[in-house]
Amino acid sequence: MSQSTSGKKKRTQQEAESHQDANLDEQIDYFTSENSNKKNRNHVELSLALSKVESVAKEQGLTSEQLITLLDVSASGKFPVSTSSKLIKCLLPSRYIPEEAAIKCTSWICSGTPARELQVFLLKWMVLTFELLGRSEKLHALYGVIFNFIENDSLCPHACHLLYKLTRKDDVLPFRVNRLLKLQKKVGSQSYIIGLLSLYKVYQPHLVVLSVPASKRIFFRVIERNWMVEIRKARERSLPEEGRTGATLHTVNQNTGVTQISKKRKRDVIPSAVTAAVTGERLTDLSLVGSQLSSIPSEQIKSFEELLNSVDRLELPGQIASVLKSVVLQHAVACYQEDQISQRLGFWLYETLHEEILDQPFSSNKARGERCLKLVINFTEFLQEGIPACENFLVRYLHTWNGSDYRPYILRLISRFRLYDFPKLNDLILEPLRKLFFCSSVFCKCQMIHTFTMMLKNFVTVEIPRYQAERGKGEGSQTSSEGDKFNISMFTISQEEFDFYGTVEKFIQFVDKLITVAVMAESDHALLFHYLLTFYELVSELRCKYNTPFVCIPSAGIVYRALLSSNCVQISRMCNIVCSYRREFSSWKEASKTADVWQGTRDLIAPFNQYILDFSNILWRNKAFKKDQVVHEPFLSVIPSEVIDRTKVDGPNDGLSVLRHIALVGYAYQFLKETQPKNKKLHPNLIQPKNRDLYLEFLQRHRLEGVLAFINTYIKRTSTKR
Amino acid sequence: MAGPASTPDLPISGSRHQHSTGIYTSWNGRKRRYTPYTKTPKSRKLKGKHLEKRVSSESQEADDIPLKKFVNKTWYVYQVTPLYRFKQDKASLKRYSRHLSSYLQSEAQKGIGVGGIEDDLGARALFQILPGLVDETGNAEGIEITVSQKENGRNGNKVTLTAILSSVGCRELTEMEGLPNDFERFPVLLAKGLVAPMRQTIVWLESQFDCRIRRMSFNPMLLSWMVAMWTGLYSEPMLKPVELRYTVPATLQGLSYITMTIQQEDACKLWKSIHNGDTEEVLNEEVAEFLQALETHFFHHFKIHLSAMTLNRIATPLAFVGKEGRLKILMTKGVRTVLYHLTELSLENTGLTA
Repeated sequence: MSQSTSGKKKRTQQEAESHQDANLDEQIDYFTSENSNKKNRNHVELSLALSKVESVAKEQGLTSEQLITLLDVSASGKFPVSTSSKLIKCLLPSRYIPEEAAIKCTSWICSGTPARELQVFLLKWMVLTFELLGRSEKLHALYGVIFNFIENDSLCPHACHLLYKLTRKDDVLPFRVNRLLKLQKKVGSQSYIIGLLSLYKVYQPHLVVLSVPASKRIFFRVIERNWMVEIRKARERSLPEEGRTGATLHTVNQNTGVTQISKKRKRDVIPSAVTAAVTGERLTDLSLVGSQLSSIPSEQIKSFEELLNSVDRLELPGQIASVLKSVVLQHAVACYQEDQISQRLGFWLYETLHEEILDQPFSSNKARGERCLKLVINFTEFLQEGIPACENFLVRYLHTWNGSDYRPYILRLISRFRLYDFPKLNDLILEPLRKLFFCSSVFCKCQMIHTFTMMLKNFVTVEIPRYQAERGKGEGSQTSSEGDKFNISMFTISQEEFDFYGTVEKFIQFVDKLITVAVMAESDHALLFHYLLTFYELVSELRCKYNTPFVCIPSAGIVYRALLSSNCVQISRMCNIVCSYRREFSSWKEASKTADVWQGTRDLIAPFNQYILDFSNILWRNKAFKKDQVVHEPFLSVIPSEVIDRTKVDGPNDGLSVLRHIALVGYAYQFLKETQPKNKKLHPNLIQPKNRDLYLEFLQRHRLEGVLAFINTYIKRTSTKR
Repeated sequence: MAGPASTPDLPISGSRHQHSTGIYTSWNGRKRRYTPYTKTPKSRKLKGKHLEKRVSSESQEADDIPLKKFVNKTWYVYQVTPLYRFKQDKASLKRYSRHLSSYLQSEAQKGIGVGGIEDDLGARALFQILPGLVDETGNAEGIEITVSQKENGRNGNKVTLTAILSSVGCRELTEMEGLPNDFERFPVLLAKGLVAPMRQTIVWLESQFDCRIRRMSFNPMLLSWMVAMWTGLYSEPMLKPVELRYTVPATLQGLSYITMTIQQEDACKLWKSIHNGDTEEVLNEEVAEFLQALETHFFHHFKIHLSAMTLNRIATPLAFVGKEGRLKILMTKGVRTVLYHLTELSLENTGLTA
């Protein structure tokens, strides 16, 4: 049939399209007129009219009036069943179907005038075109009428499907449940009855108990594929004009009904969002059944819009942990801010993580645990704060952790750990990590340093503002407007007062010590250096960006190892870090006049100046091993001059300059090759002092801007003199 | 023989010692007092005598009859997080019974819906308050759930599952902490019966009261605590002997476990020499010493270091306890003592007492 249709389609297109409407109305008149031939199905006029209607309906759809007229014709039994059924299949709207049509259709089925076969067709048509209905208020009023169709064996599957689409909470009444159950006893376990019952269960879990077998998860099967395709086309026609109102809601509902959750495993780690039957809110107000403000089960919420519309009467799932699976519900849970919710979630999380991860240290199947952790991480990131129960678990787990199971996940969770007083933080997290740190591979070390960086970031960006807001709230109400911004904590935790900046400072010192040793142990591993430099890039901006009352500088072990490293990137980045400390210290000095910063930082200025002097002596001023007259001992002057002589290095003092430094000499060579004539024997010394700026710019072009930045920041004047 | 494979001079296994040291090296190398943020407590209250006294002041005979339910049966022990919106009144319990019955029915015949009000059910669940477990204020401390199945051809019903939710001692142990009103605490679930209804009942409880129910397991440390605490509790003639069963490392073939049995009087004498009988408080050190003494004694005779094995089952005059969470209470008057201790452990495990 579809082949002939396409043939006709082409023909109709060739015909003058302007005549189409008039033409179509003529054909429709043929159907309605009393004297047309009704019996003979091979009648030429009839088949012409039918093909015309078919082609127009499929091309552009029918208007509301045409649709209703044809519906009446087909349902009235004027024509043979085959003709009528063809006509029903043509009932495709140009935009949407008027509700009146659906109501007429229902009443035709009730009247019993159309043959049984046609009734089924009509009902099928209603199911399939349900999404094209403009509105369904009046049709919904006929819910009870349609419900009666389930008594009819042939109508029942489609009636159930239509009811499935129509059902609202107040439709689910005990007597309907009972009738369905009785019917089920008669006809056995049929997927369409299960489908409708399972929806009833969603709305009124205390009225019906049902466990859906895995083989019957698809409730309603689409049989009429071709018809379905036509209707989908019609829907595409109407959707862009209709916008998204109404229609999407129905499609979403349909999707959830037809394609249930795939059978992954026997039992998922995370429970599904089902309302508890015996504890749900409705038990308290059974009398209110049918009222407009009945609560909405969370299973029905699939999109953010739906959540917004019903946020005030949303009924949370019986097992709160199911929100882990749904981003939408997470929003709801986070905005309710009720203690019980976080408590319920906490109990569940702690037990589940314990069971899935701690209790099975030797299990080879980590998929469940991983899924669990992933969801917890998602939720933590969504909340931007650690979940207390999860932290309790982490603390327990770290005592027995081997450092490799679930490593990425565990470290991710640690990076969101709350800020505690340092001794506590040390006992809970840092000490166990330190033990693992020194007996793990360099890559694991890198991951841990990255975790520390993330922890620090979390402390300064989220945790400290939150504590400050809480403290401000305790002191007075003026800051409340500012505090609200950060005080979005889902959990109420009573914490004794502690010096959070002190914790951060000690934390940085802890990490500093850790990485100083690690760099030595791993003999300057490049990747490790990358991570520790990233850490210090953050530390060197704390004062300016996050307004800490102190400045922390890296210890000498790290600074000089970077300076003398054979990796040019490390030198450049360290130079950059040293540069940003200039801003840090000047900002601190500025603030120290008003005295709300820590005075301890003053002691760091001298050692830091030492770093700068050494950097400029070694890299720029060719005084690497010379005793300088400046107060402090230069870093490399500890090496006795005899030892340096014995190395027989030509010009030891400029051996580490930007021109001859082992990490940079390659660039110097490249620079000379580009600037000097060919065949000339190249030596770094060929770069004249006046060309040095060019060379530095060359370095900058090669992404080593740190060196130039350092010289510009700290010794710019001397360079211009030269 | 089992012994020689293990290291010769290991007086007591490390794990028990770890918690008693108390000093620990901090990150910067200085010795610092250990701050107990996460560890198990170093002492426990010995509840037996205190509880017994209270019971005997009431009419003990009448009280003991319902408690006989517990005795001489093997239970599986589960720990339960607080139940959300659990109510103890009769109407609620009746509703729970009906709904659980329907649920079990629907699980039995998948795909057939079951109404909430039907009567002809195959499985029948019953929630009731357990008489005999009532605290000072008259609140129930035990809820019994029985599931029975209609037997084909016979009129009677066969009980397929007995489960008891217990909160003995819970109020006392959690006095300090506030929990929002909507929660009811029954930290311990004892269950015995067929696997299927047990699993289904647990799933049902979890889904209806948003809790987690998890099998409790007792590590060697917890088991040694129980032996020490319960050995000297009663001194009457004809008590069951104290028994410790150790599993042997898997590398040893042909020997699966070693059982050490001591007459109750002897064990009691030993315990009394270690523990000061006047106080209710049992210390970690005392427990360690008691176990060490028993193990040294064993080594003296058999040259086997029991401390190198894993303790996996204990028996005292009061109760049998297995590592995998099996429990058999042997004395009616000890029921509360055992339940109290289980409550304590469950609260520790669920992270509720910090």
